Formats: sequence, structure tokens, C-alpha cells
Amino acid sequence: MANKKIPRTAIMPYLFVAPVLILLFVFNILPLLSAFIISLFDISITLGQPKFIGLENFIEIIGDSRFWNSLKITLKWTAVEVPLQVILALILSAALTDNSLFNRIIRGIYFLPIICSATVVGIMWKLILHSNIGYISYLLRLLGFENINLMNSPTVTFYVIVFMSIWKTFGISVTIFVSAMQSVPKSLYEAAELDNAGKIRQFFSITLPYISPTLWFIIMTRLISSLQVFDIVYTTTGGGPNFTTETLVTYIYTRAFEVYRMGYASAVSVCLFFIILIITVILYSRMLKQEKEY
Amino acid sequence: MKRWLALFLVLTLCMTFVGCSNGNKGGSNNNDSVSSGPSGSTDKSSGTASDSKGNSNDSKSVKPIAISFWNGYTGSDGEVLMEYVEKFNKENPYGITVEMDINAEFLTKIAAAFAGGKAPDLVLGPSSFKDQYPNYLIDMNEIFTVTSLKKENWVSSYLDTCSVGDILYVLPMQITGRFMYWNKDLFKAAGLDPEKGPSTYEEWAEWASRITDKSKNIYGSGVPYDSVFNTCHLLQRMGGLFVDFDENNKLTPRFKDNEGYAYFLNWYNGMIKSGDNPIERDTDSMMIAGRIGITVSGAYLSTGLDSAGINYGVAQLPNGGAGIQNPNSVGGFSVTTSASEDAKLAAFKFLEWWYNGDENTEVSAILNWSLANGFPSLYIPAINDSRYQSSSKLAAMTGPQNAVTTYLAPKEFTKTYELLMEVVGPMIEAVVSGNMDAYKALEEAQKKAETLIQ
Repeated sequence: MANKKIPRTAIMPYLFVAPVLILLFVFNILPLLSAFIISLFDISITLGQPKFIGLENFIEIIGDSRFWNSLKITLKWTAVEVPLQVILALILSAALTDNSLFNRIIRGIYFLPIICSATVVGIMWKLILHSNIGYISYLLRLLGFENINLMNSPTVTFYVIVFMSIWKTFGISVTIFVSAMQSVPKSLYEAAELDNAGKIRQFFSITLPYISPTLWFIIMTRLISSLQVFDIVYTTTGGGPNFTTETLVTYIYTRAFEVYRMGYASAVSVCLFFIILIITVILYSRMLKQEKEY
Repeated sequence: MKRWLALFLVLTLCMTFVGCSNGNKGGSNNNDSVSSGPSGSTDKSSGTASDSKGNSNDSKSVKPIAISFWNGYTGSDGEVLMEYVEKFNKENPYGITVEMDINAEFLTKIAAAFAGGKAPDLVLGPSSFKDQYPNYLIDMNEIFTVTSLKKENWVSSYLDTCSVGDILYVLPMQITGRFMYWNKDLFKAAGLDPEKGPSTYEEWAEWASRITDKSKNIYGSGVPYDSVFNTCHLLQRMGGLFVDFDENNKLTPRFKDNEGYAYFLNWYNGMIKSGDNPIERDTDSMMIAGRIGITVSGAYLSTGLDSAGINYGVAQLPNGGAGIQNPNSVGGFSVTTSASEDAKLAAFKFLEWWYNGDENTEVSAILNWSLANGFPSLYIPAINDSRYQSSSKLAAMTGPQNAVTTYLAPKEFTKTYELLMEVVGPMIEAVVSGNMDAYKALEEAQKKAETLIQ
């Protein structure tokens, strides 16, 4: 029997992806596995004196009203931010698809918040929206809106932070949608015009179906990102007032770095992992089903 | 050929990732290890024999070395710190270089550093480090045998606050108290005596209502919202310690039916509802902008008010229903167990200079810390200095009760930080933002505090 030698061309691709795989393993897989293991222990932030407690942390989560509140806030955040951002990005992209100079400048401006640090964005908005010395508050008072406290209201502040998050991140969605829309063949629009289809009809019947893989990609990435929102909340409200903006990751942070319960924080993050996994699998199946239908 | 080149490039890329990991695997040359990054010298294996204990002036026992020093003083006080560290680095005769890393996330970063075994040599942090990281800090009593520093030069209650039993984990450097500030011009405009702040909390609320001017966006009171490190000082003055020993000598929370705490919650909520106090975290900026009549803040506010040219008064906070209370927390220096013997001695030399100065120092760092930042001192030679005594601001902040401090609870209760973040802060928010009844909020706070004690 001939000695089967693995050809070099079969090995080379693996060598090229090896560095990325190593990074992925060291910075993603290993910490993930560590989190699973740490969640079974009662252990402090310094990882000293661990005590195996099995599923006790998870049992505690069931009775933890603050966990359920943060989960509710996170799901509410996702339900508000993702549709708003996707719809806004779609509308703007449709308007900015042409590669005119004006459109390119506007697209660049929309992209600017993406490259700003979330910390800087949070501090900036906090100052602008300060109830007393903030510029927006001043303008609102000129318009007759007295007693507006955008950053410390249990009812309004949540939506203000969501707005900040959309403001910071929708530029990337616009950029991706624009390039997807630019790839739609012009002949389809010409044919539609011959059939007297208006712009809106063309958008829903041609553009959206054609860019649906991109649309699903944006929805999924924005969804996963919004379920993990932390930086903008931490730098602005810290979860207040009265926990009305405390998301799951913010809560996890407080468990780990304010009460030094690394085991419990890991248990909550494991729960978040499974929540994101379930939602992503459901969405992905839906996406595949829709692609088959098209 | 192309394949071999491609393979070579891939392997090089892999090696760079490996090489990027911390290459500081020890070695006794601490200068090299420090220059590689902020983790500093972690070498414990220095073969240098330590013989410096009885010889504080023997410079031969202190080798030229760079030590890492972490803290979280990102404000204007940090600039004073930087100035003095640079001065020490330039002028010390031992060749010691203090490499300082100031980070707003210092408390988070130090926890990770301790966990990862990459802690700096020296830290400047709160006294609660003695409870949080006793296994990572050395006994600072050693400094009194190695240097010319004398233990009796510290206000003794602050040394107690920083000790567990006989072990001194933190060498006290700073009193972190809260004071009452008032805007004299706003007082005058409201027909109040500008030289006198309110002496009771009833006066505070009443005067606030007289100062408030909606048309000019001015609030009479500026007790910050969601700022439990400020409001706890008011709460303790009104209701006493949050946790204390009961008749069975057991630590017990004191929230339930505490009239003093209920008074604070209703007093504060009342001022907010009447529009005399904003719901705002950053009342310091408003005070500096001249929009607040009376506020509570740390000594650091005085620097901002001086820069803004605000005509202000400062005094100790009024006593409340709990009698004389002095809930000052303490910040201080700690040498970590990560420091090598040489690094530890170098850190001691730096601290000796910080407190005593030398022949080149006109104003010692510890004295200037008070003069420049406005922090009252706990170091007796600094307090007795004529420049300290002649500062009216420091005189107002250094009251007789500064001699004793009990911050929130007896020192046997080690979870003061969790108490504030998990119990006191949410209790206030539940009343102010959640419209909960004050006594109900106190009941819930009692239950939460009991879990901390368990």
C-alpha cells in the first residue's frame, strides 16, 4: 500500500490561520472555560482561597431580584436599540448610497463617533446633558422645558442612554448597509421602473431582499452587542438612578469589582452567555430559513 | 521557495505573539524588570542581604533601583503628587527612581494585579486595603525601625484605622473627610450672614429655600445625588454608625427604625421635591459655577473654588442627632509583598522623604499635600507647622474631632465598601427615585446589611 503523505498544500492553510486560532483560544476560549469553572466556586477577586460550592451561585441567581431587574433592563435595551438602530441605518443608507462628494462626507461624519472612545463619549454627553450647566438642558429651558433632568430620571434616563449608544454605533451599520446596497445590480431597479414601481416599492421589493444576508448580519451583531452593553452605561449613570439603567454586564461588573465575588460574577456571565447563545441560534435559524425561501 | 518563505513568515508571526507576553521572568536586576512595564519589579529572589534595619541613615544599604508606585489620584491632587515624585527622583542621593502610574481604574487594576501576581512595589490607597488585601501587603511597622520616621508623629487613631491587631498595613497619609461649603455671595443676596454656615440641618434646609432662585438656576442646597461617599458623612452624623456592637457584643446593622437615618432621607428627599436641591451627581461643578448655596464635599473642592474665584466659606459639617461623629476615611501608603527587599527599602526611603523631607526641601510633601490640596493632615509635625496653622482654610477643616475617627462602623466590620455600594446607596435611591417610604427603605437596608455581616 502506498504511503499516504499529506501534501504541503493541505497543511499551509492551517499554518496561516494558526496565529488567529491561537489568539482566539488564549483570549476567548480559555477565559470562557475559566469562567465556567470559576462559577462553581466561592472565590474573591484575587482568586485566593477558592471554595467549591457547585451550583450554589446559580441557585442564588434565581432568587436575586437585582439579576432579574438587570436582565429585564438588558432585554428592554435590546428591544429598543436594535430595531431603532437598524431602521435608522437603513433609511440613512438608502439616502446615502450614491457616491457623491456630499454623501461621502456625510457618511464620514456619521462614522466619527465609532472611532471615539466610549469613555470619552459618555463623559461628553454627561456634561452636555447636565441638568444645570449642560448645553442641551439650557436649550430645553429656553424652549420652556423646566425641571428636565435627562441623566437622573427613573423614566427618561434609560432612553437617553440608549440614544447615546445608537449615536455612537449606528455609523458602522450605515457603512455596511451602504456597501451592500451599492452591490445591488442597477438593472433590477431599471426593470422595476419600467414596471412603474416607486422608490419605496423598489426598496422593499428589491433592495431589502437583496441585502438580507447583510441585514441579518447587522441585526445579529447589534443584538449580541446590545446584550453585552457596558461601557456607555458605566461611564454615564453607573446603572442608576435606582437601577433603572443597570444592564447585566454592569451588574456582573459590580459583583466582581465592588463586592469582590468573582465566582458569583462568573455565574451571572455564564447565564448571559447562554441567553445570547439561545437568542443567536433562534435568529440564525430564522435567517437560514428565510434565505432558503428566497 | 515561495512556500518556504510563507512558512517562515507564519512562524515569525507566531513567535511574535509568544514574545509579546511578559518576558520579565525574574532576575535580580530590578532596573531591567521595572523598565519593561508598569508591573514593576516583582523579583523576590534578590540575593542582597538586608542589614539596614538599625541604620536609617546608611545610604549604602539602599541600592539604586526603580520602584513602581500605583495610585488613583487623577485630579488636581495628582498633579501635586507628580510634582513631588519628580522632585524626589531628581534630588534623592540613593539613585532611587519612583515610577508612578496614576489610573482612574486603580482599584480595579490593583485587584487584578494582586490576583495575577504582578502588583507594584508601592501603592497609595484606602485603609480598607487592610481588610481586602492583607495577604498582599507587608507590615509597615518595619519602616519605623529602618528609617527616622517616628510612629508617635501620627494621630494615633488613624494608625489604628489602618491596622489589624498589631500589623500596620497602611501608613496613613491623608484624611478623606467631608466638609460644608457655602457660597458667601449667595448668602448675602438671600439676606443671610455670609460668615456663618448653618449650624443645624433644619437651618440648612430653611436657608436653602431662601437661597434657591429658579430664574437664575440657583439651588440653595447641593447634596450630591448617587454619591454615597459624600452622603454617608451626613447619615452618620444624623443616625450614628451603620453597624455597631449590640448588647451581646455582636455586630448588628442599625438601619431599622433609625430615626436619624429616617430624618436624613426625609430631609434630603424634601429638599429635592421642593426644588431646593438638584438631582445631580456632580454638584461640585455647580458649586464651582456659583450655582449652589450650601454643599458637602471633600477638601479637594476648595482648590476648584479657589481657581474659580468663588467667595466661599468652609467648616466642619454640623453635628446631627448622633452627637459628635467623625467619619473620616484614611488614605495611605502600602508596600506590597511583590516588592523585593531592595525595592522595599527604596520605598521606605521615599516615604521617609515624603514625611520628613531633607535639607533641600523647603516644604515637605506631607505638609504641601495639605497646603496645596486643602486636605487636613494627620501628621503631627505638619499640623504644628506655622504655615499649616496660618492657613484659615486648614484651620476650619482641622477640628478637635480629627483626633478620632470611626468611619461607618467599628473596625471589626470589614465590609464598609460593600455596605455603602450595596446598602446605603440603594437605600437613598429607593426613597428619592423610587418614592419608597423612608422606614420601609430602612427595613430593606437592614435586611441587606444583615447578609453582609453573615
